[in-house]
Amino acid sequence: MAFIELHNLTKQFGPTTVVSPLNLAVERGEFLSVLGPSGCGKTTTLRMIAGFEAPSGGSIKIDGADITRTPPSKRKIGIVFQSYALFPNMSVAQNIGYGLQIAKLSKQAIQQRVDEMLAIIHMQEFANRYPHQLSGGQQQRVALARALAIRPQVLLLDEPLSALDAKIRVSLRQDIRAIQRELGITAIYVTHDQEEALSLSDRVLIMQKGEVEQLGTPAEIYNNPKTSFVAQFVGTLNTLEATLHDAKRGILQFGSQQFEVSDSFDAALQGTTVQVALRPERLSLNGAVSQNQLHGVVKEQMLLGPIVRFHVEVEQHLLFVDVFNDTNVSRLPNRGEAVVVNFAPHDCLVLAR
Amino acid sequence: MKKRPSLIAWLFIVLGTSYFLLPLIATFLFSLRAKKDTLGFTAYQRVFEDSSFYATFRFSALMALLTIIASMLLLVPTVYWAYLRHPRLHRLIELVSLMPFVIPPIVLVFGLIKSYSRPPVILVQSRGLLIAGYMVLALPYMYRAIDAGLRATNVKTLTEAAQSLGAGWPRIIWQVIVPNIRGALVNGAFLTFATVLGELTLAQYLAWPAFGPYLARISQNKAYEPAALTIISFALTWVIFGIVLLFNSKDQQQTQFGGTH
Repeated sequence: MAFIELHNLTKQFGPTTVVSPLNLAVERGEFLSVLGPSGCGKTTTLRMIAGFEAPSGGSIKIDGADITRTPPSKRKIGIVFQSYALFPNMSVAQNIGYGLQIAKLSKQAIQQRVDEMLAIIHMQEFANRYPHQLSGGQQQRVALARALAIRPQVLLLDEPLSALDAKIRVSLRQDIRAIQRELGITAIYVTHDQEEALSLSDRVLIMQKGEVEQLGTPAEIYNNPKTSFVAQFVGTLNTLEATLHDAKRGILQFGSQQFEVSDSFDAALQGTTVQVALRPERLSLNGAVSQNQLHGVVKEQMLLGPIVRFHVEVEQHLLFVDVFNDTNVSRLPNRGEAVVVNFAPHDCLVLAR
Repeated sequence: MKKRPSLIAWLFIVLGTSYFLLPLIATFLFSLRAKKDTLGFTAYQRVFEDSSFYATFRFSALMALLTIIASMLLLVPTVYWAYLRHPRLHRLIELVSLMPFVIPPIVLVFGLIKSYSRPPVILVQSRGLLIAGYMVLALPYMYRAIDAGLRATNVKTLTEAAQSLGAGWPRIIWQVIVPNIRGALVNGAFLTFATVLGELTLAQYLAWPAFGPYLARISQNKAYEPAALTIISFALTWVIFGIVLLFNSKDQQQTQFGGTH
């Protein structure tokens, strides 16, 4: 039995369904991200687990106990908010110790736990500061320590990094993951940032319009998106529409050119249009010759640091092609140059309608 | 480069200040003339020698204090609850809080007398009724202060954070909400204090020996003492205001020295 079990969990606000019946099982110690665009129901799901929203239907179980109707103060769930939500009237140490004080731990025990938490977040020297004397990243670390100090069963994080700037976001997300692993705590992390979700999680749940689109490991989500929404939402993607030239062998007609996919289709589909997705990093220019070759012209090149992204026009359609920014390996083509885009049939994702 | 205020700006500052200060200075000078042909504090001496000055002031100050406590006990949880759970109720509360500005105190007091001077509830002789009346008069100030305090605080998320740490409602209000709107509460208390201290109508018609009726009586019978009293109450008001400022500056002493990292 899983540690957290959501069974047919639903939420409606008046006539609008925010979360359609949701079933989810999270294992003990797992780090699960819930990823989706704003308004997809991910935060509402988190708030139902925390107890801040009452579900319209279904149940929530943690460690076998049904907590669907338990008030939030009795759930033993730690939560970290986007806005930090530190108590402005309390020092860092008082903030971290607040939950322990409520739990009526002895002064000594509180002090000990607070010191322990301060050490985990590397902020021992800030114990007596007040929240407004800290930077955003520091405040969020204190918020994390405060949530963890009560030794919660589950840690919920509601877009905890969205209010921080890019550098801090990356370093803090590594810290969060390291602390979560160290303490072995089960965590659910809500985010709209796919990079965060992919880099942090054991598994990622992708939601859209209150429905689950896909649940899987980051690699599964990225390499084998089940729906076109997932494919589009996660990572950069080229999508092109091509006609089935030979359904059985998976040969597609794209303008005046042809390419092959590894799927085979029902003969009845012959001549229909299918949607094919290609990751930019699976395409290459000139160089190695692959089974599929499309001829085009470079329209634009953009330096993204370690990679260079080419916009190649093929049959009046722009394809993104990512190439390593390494001129030792190959000469990078210039704008206006004719190129050949190479890719393998198994790199083509035929998207479900 | 420092921008110097223009001549016109100065003119208006001077005009505004004199509109406020001239009558005060005139009153002050007048209050010093209780003895013919000499300037002195005779009028003040007489005021301070009058035992009913102390008695009425003490009474009103006590009533003001009780009004402040009762208003806060009523309004902090109410407005907080509206913020948290019924944001739409907010408008209604705001509207109700403005009623004392629309309904004159004389209407209020006769309404109170009419309602509570006969069975089933007889309250006209109770201080509770006076305090309740004061609470109504102070409602706009107190409500606005609390509202502003809560508006400046991230009420919802702080509440949820406290809840997730195991805190119940009384604890959240007392340990999380109240300390974070302390400045606003002090402001509301100050305005309430000033309102109750100078209030005439309610105390007069409910027949309480309050400071307001005392002021009115003195001004009808004496010439110089009312001027002295005006200056005294003005000074008292400013002393209280100074205390408020002190409170607020204490808040600001915990200024940022961490900077952004």
